[in-house]
Amino acid sequence: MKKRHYISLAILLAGFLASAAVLRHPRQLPLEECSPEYLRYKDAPGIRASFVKNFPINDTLAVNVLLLEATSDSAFCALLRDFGEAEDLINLYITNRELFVGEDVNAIEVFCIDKNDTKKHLPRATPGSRLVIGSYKKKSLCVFNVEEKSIKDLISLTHIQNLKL
Amino acid sequence: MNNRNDKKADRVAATVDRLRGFDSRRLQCEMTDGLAEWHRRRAEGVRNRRLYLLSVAIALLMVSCSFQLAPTLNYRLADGVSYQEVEDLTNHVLGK
Repeated sequence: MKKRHYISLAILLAGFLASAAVLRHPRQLPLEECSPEYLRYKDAPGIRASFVKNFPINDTLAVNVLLLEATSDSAFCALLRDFGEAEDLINLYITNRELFVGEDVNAIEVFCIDKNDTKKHLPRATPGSRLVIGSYKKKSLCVFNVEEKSIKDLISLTHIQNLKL
Repeated sequence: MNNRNDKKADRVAATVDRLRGFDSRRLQCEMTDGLAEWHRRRAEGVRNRRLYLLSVAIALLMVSCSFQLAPTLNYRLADGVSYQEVEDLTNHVLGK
């Protein structure tokens, strides 16, 4: 083989390596497209924040969802406080967990928050409010980035329809 | 001064000697060989350039294809969490 063959092989190898790097590199959603709540919690200790764009709720509806999963009870309580949950309820969860989590018990929270202030609970019909559904069993909160009341109703309805009574 | 004149005379004498031994056929052969060598090198250069260009084109094609093939993700996950886990958990929260 001549020198030129080695050079062309090196160029092809570089191209192959670059392609492999492109294929293997995770192409994440850019931060600009994530919600402000995700940016707030993405590096928070004790909380695993994941943001999904266009998560399918049913066959026709897909919305942006922020999932906040607490890794400990204390982190979950802090998360509930951040989302304006009443202190009495949090204390009740700490002292009487069997009321919230058990074999036949799976307490779920559904409420709406102000998109600029997560501690502020708002009626569902209020423009600019976001739907939050929380699971005590999984120590997680789902924030649905929707503002239209009809979609919030649809998500809640989906949730209620799926509840195993 | 004499020294410089001597050197000049030596150079002239050397040139005269070279001209005396001038062989036009040999010079022609040398020129023809030189021209052939020049053409050969030129053709080789063209071949090299073509090969390099082809290699670069193939490499760029591979990279652009991989950009096309790589999935554009629509999520951003926490460290150590897979999309399936997030999907399962969200569906659990939704009661599914």
